[in-house]
Amino acid sequence: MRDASLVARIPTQWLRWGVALLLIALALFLWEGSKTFFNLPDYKLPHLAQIGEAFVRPTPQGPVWRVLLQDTLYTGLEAFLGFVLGGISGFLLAALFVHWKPAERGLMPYVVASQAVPIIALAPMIVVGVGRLGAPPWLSKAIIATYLTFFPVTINATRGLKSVDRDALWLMHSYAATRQQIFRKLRVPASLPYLFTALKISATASVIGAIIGELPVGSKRGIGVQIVVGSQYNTFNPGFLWATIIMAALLGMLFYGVVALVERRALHWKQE
Amino acid sequence: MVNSEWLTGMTRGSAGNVDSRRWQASILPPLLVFVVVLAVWELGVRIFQPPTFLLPAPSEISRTFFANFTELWTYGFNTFREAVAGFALGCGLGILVAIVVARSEVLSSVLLPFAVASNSVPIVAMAPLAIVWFGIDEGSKIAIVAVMCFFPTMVSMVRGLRTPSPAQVSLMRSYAANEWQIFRKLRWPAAMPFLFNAFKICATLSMIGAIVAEFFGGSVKFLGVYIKTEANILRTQNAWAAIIVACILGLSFYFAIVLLERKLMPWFTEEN
Amino acid sequence: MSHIIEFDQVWKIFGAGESETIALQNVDLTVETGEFVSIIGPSGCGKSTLLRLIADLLPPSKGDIRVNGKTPRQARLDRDYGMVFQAPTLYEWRTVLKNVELPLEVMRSAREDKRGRAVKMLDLVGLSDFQNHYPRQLSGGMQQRVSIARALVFEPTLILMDEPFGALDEFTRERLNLELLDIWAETHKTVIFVTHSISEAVFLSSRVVVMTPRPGKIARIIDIDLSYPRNFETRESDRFFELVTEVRETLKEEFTRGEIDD
Repeated sequence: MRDASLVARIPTQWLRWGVALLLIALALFLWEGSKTFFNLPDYKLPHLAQIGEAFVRPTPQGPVWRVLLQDTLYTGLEAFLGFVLGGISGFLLAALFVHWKPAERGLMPYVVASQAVPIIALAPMIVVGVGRLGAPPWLSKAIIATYLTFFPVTINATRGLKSVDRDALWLMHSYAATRQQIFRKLRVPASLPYLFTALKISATASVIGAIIGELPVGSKRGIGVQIVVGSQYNTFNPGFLWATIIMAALLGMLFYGVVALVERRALHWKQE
Repeated sequence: MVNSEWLTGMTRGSAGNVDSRRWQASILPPLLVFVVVLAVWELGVRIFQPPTFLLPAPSEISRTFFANFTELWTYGFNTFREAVAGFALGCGLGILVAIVVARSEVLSSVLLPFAVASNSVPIVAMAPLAIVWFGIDEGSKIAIVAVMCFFPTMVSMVRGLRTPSPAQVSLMRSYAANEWQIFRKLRWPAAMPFLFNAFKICATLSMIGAIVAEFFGGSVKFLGVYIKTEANILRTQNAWAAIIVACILGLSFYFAIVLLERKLMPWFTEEN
Repeated sequence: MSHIIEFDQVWKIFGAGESETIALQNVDLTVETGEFVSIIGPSGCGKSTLLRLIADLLPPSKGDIRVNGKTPRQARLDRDYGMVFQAPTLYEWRTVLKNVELPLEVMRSAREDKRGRAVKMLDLVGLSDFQNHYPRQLSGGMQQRVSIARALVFEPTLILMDEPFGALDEFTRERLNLELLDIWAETHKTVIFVTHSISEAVFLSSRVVVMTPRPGKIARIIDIDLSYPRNFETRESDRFFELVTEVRETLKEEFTRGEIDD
């Protein structure tokens, strides 16, 4: 309101990019500045160059960035698998809830409660249990990502499928539409905005789930494993831990970004 | 997300005045599911006798829960303290920053997308860094929880403080109200529902954050470390018992916020 | 057979016991094919309920209803009527054209046939240029025109309209009234039109059914003997004013009586 009118006339898009660049520059400046000023040791705050150097350092399997990329993709696949499975099963349960009230009454309270409870704490048991059964190592991570996706999707899809207003439903009845037609042509499209809200939450949650699943001893692949390795060797190679965490952050942003992009295309009929 | 008729309805029901229709519609079905699932679980385990590390019987879990009662709850409250401290720190900072940011139209519209995008970053993956910075004990966990709570609180609070319409602000100005009065009598109350929404999200996040941060290491006298170690040495029943403690604490935290919300905002009803 | 709608001692009661409300009390009503009948009354008089009984969106509690000589259910299954609500109720994810095609899709019409009929209907309501727009890009009046096109597209014999212009401003409303009369003249449908605007009811209808609330029943049926086609001059004629006054007096009488009851 009291911002200078000159600033207010610049398009917000440009401003955002400008501010982004400015923020990054500021962060880098503060980073190196505080390192010198507070005389922080490398293991607490490495030089930016050290992080860069950690990325390009050679290993028997090729440069570090390539190794990390492979591990990140591996984790990404685990998360993606769980994301897809959780999304589909959540939506199917929501469809059941909408068509069969007793199921909703009996189960919905638990689905909702799951959101106020740290269900991710089950992760170590799933990893150990599934691992002991001799299943492939990615399976337990995918299972964790699945249930972390499943619950938010079930809640929001149920809400979305029920969000149709009475007249829109009556309109369908006036055409003597079948239940299936009402579901396909009315309920499903109406549920999409709700569904995407949940999918954006779940996108990040599934990445977190996969990473957490990689923490227990015995895991061999994935960016979670690399984070653990990084924290163990932090004193010797202070840039590496940062490199692994940057990769994990990028993976989370990629997942979120893709879902947000699909959302924008799927919901183009909403406002600009 | 978490905000549901059922979760809030439960507290309302416990205040007495549970009529029979309510009982049949919203309490009996989930109770029935609970009993049936527990019975099937117990019977299934007795008949098929899967190894305990895969799935312990409910009776086994409850025996462990009571046998290790003091131990479990001590660990539980150790973790809970971290969660609450991180919550207070993160939400407090979030509110303060929001008050500053919300004063400027440009600043809010430019910064908010970044704060929202931070949702996509798996913040818990930074736990090893927090350990490097704040030590293996409570400090690092509190820091992670604080960062996790900061962004949702700040985003909600900025949105909340900016909800009053220009007409509402004009009304205040017509009374010759000063900036402080506009803040105190208009913006702050308008932001309260948003703030409590964020509190509810953060209550859950803080328990998740504390437990998952503990997965990255720490003393065994904390729930996360305990769950991880017990799972690793295949004493799964102990881990399950610890998860029950985590769930009870998580739900209590959530409901404490809901109760506070009722108390402070009697004018605000659940109906969106 | 020329009785398109017959109500024979129809009751509609909501709730039971203490919370029981009589929405419709002993309603007798006959509508001839090709008529334009308005139902008018204050809110709570059961006029929308009456419409929903015809549409088989609600069942009657007592009495018999015939639509095209069939039960309302059979009439609905035969797609005998098109419905227009107060809110346009367009599906916001469909373009204007796809919205008008919706009933044909549900009724499984052939593809090219579908497109052609939808285009023709949009032409009729004057929106050919907006086929590929999304509902949010249209004004309230335009949205309601799409909704009318959608009700007409599968050529039902009967059009049910539930306060279709209630949410529009006075200018738009009067223009759409004229357009609706044109469409009616062109398509020879029977129209049942629920409204709470006296002048709208008189201007449009061949008969006006005046209803009273609590319990909802028919107070009077007034024949509107203004000649068609009607236009802006109709609204300024003396006869128009007399009829408006007649409807208003009937409503007032019943309204004061209702207040004494409470």
